[in-house]
Amino acid sequence: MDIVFAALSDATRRGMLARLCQGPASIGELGAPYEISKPAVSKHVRVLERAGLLERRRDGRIHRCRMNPQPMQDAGAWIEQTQRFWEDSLGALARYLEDTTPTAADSADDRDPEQHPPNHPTENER
Amino acid sequence: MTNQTGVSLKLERTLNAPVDRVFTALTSKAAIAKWFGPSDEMKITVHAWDCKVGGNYRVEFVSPKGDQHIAVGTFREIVPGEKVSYSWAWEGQPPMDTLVTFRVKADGDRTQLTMTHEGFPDQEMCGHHEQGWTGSMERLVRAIA
Repeated sequence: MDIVFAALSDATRRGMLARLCQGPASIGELGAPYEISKPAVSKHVRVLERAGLLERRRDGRIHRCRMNPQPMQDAGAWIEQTQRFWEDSLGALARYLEDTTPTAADSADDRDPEQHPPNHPTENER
Repeated sequence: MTNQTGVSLKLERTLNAPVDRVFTALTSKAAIAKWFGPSDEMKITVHAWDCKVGGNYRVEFVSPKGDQHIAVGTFREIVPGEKVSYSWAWEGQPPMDTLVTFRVKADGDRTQLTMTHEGFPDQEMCGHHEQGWTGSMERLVRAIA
């Protein structure tokens, strides 16, 4: 998973993936929108390939690239799963605190010498 | 989800309890077993919860269907009444050293809780990080789903 997130952490590579979302492309087409050297484009393509996000096929002298969505779906699923985990947990935390409030508050009041409810007998009345 | 650099998840809640109670709920082993986890049906076992800097935790979740997930990590920072953070990974999955941080702040009798789950604490990756990657990735994931 690390390798997928690392691959996605670069704007150029995300742009290349966005281009591949629209359909297969050559390496030249992938690098066209960016002012970077051919070796730099190849390097980005290799990073995406290693992460399993991009598949390359030789078509004569041209490398055709297409996207493999699986690792990204896995990464998205990881984030979604984690988000759901925490959202549910924080909901449970709020309920836990609500459920335990009355007893905790009561015992805190009992122990608190500063608390003098209006109808509480005072020392003078004894 | 936020667009902050390196932060992959941020949740904020107002809790109906004073800060010290919330902090105890976040850090005590007995309390963790009560609220940690995706749902009530999930069976939670806190195998370890050594809440001190450098201490480890290991919490097992088993769904009604029998799916088992184990969260493991190490406490990184503990400031009573303020914040607690620990590393987070799923045991048995590729190592991903993510960082969970809870911050609490008094709001009258209530408590403002901010929770972040940062995906990439390690230096090299942070250096390559750019704003908004999560949003971009979400859009991409949606586009290809």
